[in-house]
Amino acid sequence: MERGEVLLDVRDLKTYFFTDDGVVKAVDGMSFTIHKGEVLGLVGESGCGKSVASMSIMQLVDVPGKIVGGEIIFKGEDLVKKTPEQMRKIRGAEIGMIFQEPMTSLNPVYTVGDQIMEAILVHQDVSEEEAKKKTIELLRLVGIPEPERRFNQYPHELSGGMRQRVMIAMAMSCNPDLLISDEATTALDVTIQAQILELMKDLQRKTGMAILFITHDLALVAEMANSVAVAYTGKIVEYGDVYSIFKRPRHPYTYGLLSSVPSLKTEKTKTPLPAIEGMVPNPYRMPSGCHFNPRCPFATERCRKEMPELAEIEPGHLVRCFHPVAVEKEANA
Amino acid sequence: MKKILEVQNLVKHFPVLGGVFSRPVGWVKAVDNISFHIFEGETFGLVGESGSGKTTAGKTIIRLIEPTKGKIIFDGKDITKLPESKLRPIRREMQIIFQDPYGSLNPRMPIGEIIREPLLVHGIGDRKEQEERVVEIMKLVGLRPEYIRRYPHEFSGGQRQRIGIARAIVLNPKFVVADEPVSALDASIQAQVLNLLLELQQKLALTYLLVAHNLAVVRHVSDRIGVMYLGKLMEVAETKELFTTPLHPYTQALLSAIPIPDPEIKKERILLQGDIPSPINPPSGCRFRTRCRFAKDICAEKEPPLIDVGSGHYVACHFVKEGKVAEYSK
Repeated sequence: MERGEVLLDVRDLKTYFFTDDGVVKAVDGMSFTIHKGEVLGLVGESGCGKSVASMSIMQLVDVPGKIVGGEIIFKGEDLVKKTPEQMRKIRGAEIGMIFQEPMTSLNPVYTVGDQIMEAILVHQDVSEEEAKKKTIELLRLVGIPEPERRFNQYPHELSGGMRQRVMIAMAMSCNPDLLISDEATTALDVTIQAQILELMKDLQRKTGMAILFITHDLALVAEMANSVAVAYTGKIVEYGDVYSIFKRPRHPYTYGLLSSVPSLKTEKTKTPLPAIEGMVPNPYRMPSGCHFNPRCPFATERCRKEMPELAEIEPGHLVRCFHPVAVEKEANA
Repeated sequence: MKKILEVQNLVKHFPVLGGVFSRPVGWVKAVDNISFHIFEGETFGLVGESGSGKTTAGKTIIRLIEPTKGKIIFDGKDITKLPESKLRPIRREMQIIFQDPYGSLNPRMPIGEIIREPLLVHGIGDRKEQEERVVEIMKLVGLRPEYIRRYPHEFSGGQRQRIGIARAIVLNPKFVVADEPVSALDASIQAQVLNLLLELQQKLALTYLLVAHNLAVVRHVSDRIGVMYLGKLMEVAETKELFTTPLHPYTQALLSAIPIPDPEIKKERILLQGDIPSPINPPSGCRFRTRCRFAKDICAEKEPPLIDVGSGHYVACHFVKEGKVAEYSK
């Protein structure tokens, strides 16, 4: 795949939470890059650190959490070293963000129009009149019918899908170079999810912005992303372009995850799914060696002692495993 | 095949209260005249989006919610109006598994007690027999019996769902309503719980009503599927038939919206316009008409009945018989 210049380079990021019960290494040495105009899917289950990674990029990690190591290079500058004042100028202007629950991210006592306008007025040197015009344009752009009327409505007057459109309009208001979408469609019904994904793809094509697409749903990644990073217990375990990851998953976790999801193609319904044994380890009691070893069918003595490095197994395809899966995955059978 | 459950013209309306006297000012038509049946030993999947009434239907069928109108025939007996005293022995035969494995277990009770409680309520066996039964059931659902005195918060989401399943099957029921049993669980745990449900069905000859929104999950475990929209059944068919030849425009759009975990498949989506209307004030005629590509005048005037188009495939659409609904492209 042709890739533009690097927009975001996360290097060995470590975000730990210091709680009374011990230290939780929520993000523990994550590295990934996003090129201009690229969609990177960051996928994993609860506790894999995907959301903490996105909050770290935005510098929104709260006590007891702290970034304890690594760099987040955005357009050549390290965000970790930025002052809160400098970050405020970047957030919303150069990096936009949309979350799972739009109701909690929107202020219930302001109209949706006012909230989008505020984002524009904070970051851009425009008059109120221009900001209002721009807001209505944005509402139209994200597919909200009757934008002039919707401008004066409050968040509770809108449906979940419409609220997420408002969030997207707000995130798009300053033409960000990077949009972080953190489980943005998880709370939506499947027909509404399809609408929102279509909208995001369309805006991405039109503006050329890059997207960090965070989700637990592998199917959405297949649909949206150019590249995929699979996270498990705060570390990236597999990283590559979307075709390599879905056609030749090499990490036993990725392989297991892809096989355990019921497929729409299989004839073998009503038969046991190849499930991954066990569960994600307790963050206070991580297993020694590879964190996946207690659940891994291929684990050996070495896996129980040593943590494998994320290593390139074929050009552009990185795997953190001593015994990568060798078989070609059947096309989702 | 024997029908274990028959639902006839089931209606459940909830009042919307308002004003100083909290009088009903409107009605949420959660379930609005649905009829279907479930065969013994099968899994019937009930799918739909939020507000479709699938959960209300599931709970009304086992009388956790009182029906407004209609008839529920369970195992040959009309249970619609049975008083609580007569309903109790029948409740042993029908149980429910809830979506939220966190909210549906009493946090102050050890899990052994949670699983034993139905035996107590129904006065089955003495204490020793009950405890033996609890251990037996725990083993069956994959919980280690030495955990019997632990509390729900000591378990993960997947294990809690196993506790909920153990409680549902401890009475050895015939029929189990599973309301979104895996939707709160991570992907790797979903498969474990689905496998358990399949295994228990075989071992205990259970009949399931699976209420869920994830169509891939429903397809994997169901023999037949009913599709609901705004309180109505739009289509009922055998699983394979429904996925290969969906006839209702809503089913077609719903299936086409399912994301596929394969980057090589670029699906042509049928994108529905707009949102699901409110069940308080649903559209006249066909409830789907406001979002339907094929809607004509008749759809606003007349409600299409759910008709049999052959081999147990039922569809509620004015145009199905005339073959005017476009072919579904996969």
